[in-house]
Amino acid sequence: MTSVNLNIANLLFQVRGGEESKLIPDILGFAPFLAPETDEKPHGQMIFGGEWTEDVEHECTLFEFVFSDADIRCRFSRTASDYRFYMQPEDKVEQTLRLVYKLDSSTIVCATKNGQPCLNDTMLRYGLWFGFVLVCAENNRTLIHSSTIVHHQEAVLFLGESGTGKSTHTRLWLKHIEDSHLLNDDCPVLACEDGQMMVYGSPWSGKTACFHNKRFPLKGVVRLSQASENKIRRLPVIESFMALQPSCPPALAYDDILSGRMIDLISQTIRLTPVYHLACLPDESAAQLSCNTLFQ
Amino acid sequence: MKIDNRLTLREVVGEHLIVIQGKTDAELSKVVAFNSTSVMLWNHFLEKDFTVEDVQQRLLEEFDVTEEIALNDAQAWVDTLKQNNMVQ
Repeated sequence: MTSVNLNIANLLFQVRGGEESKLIPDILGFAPFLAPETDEKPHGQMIFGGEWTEDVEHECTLFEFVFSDADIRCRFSRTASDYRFYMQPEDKVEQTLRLVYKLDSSTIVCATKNGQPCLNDTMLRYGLWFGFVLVCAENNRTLIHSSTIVHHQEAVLFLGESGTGKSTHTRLWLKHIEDSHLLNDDCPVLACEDGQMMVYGSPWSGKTACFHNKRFPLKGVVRLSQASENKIRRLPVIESFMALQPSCPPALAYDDILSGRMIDLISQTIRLTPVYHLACLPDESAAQLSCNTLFQ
Repeated sequence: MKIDNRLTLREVVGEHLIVIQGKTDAELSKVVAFNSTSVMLWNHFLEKDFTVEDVQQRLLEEFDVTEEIALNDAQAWVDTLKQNNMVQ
């Protein structure tokens, strides 16, 4: 069986089997995360080429949505014994890719409805993303929707709904703030390690090719919104929670156990790191304001 | 009425919160923050069938207040739960 080792966020993530695992090294963004073969037990494994069965009873849908980048219908569900994540390309039911995961098994088994390998790049990237979301949930980590700057060797997570100007704001840092670089432009990993919050680059960086297999301590979190003037304020606990929670993988929020873990990680983040709200214009002084506030 | 058993009271850095997820991706989630009295009532009535009068009674047992104040507070608490679809 072919097997590819990835090292993402200091976790050994192994992708095995099917035609799919052979494709991983060529998927955009994964090359910096390839890891050598090892006898170590992986933190998570994704096994392709599994068998599609439809014998399950009591399957209850937790969350359904359309992954708009690629017209893929997604459904996250729970059965008596496992979680299931379905990705169905619009109008192509037979090409549905399904991930099956038993809580804390570190193992995600993938199968397609028609038994053919899933050769759709976007589905594979997104399937790996979802698989890694589950592995993170076992390891005090989460993928988080953010454009992330590193300044003086510390990371700042910029959060906000799509279209609020996260990438615009981080580009202003790159242009106007010395010693700053982009760690990731879409989905880095937030981790709690030995009582410290850390941020890792990941293979998922949205439209920006920015795939760094690196780790930095988290300096702060900034939720952005557009405004007619620049203004920043530190958020108290409840607002900090409300700033962070919508940027974590939404599907997990619909399950009591998985959302509990997510909330614990958010709590640790708030306990250890300042969270701000920045109302801003897309200008240099917005970047200066957030930099001066965080690194005063 | 009964508290919706899909909701979980969580502690976040000393605050007590209940997250109510939007039913769809587009619908925003809501966070309801509880003070210590609400936490006490929530834990007491969890998995029980209860009325506003039951809540009033619980408040009277716990605090030195008049029946009228207890009833007003009980009604306000129940109204909040109802407004946020937290009871069935």
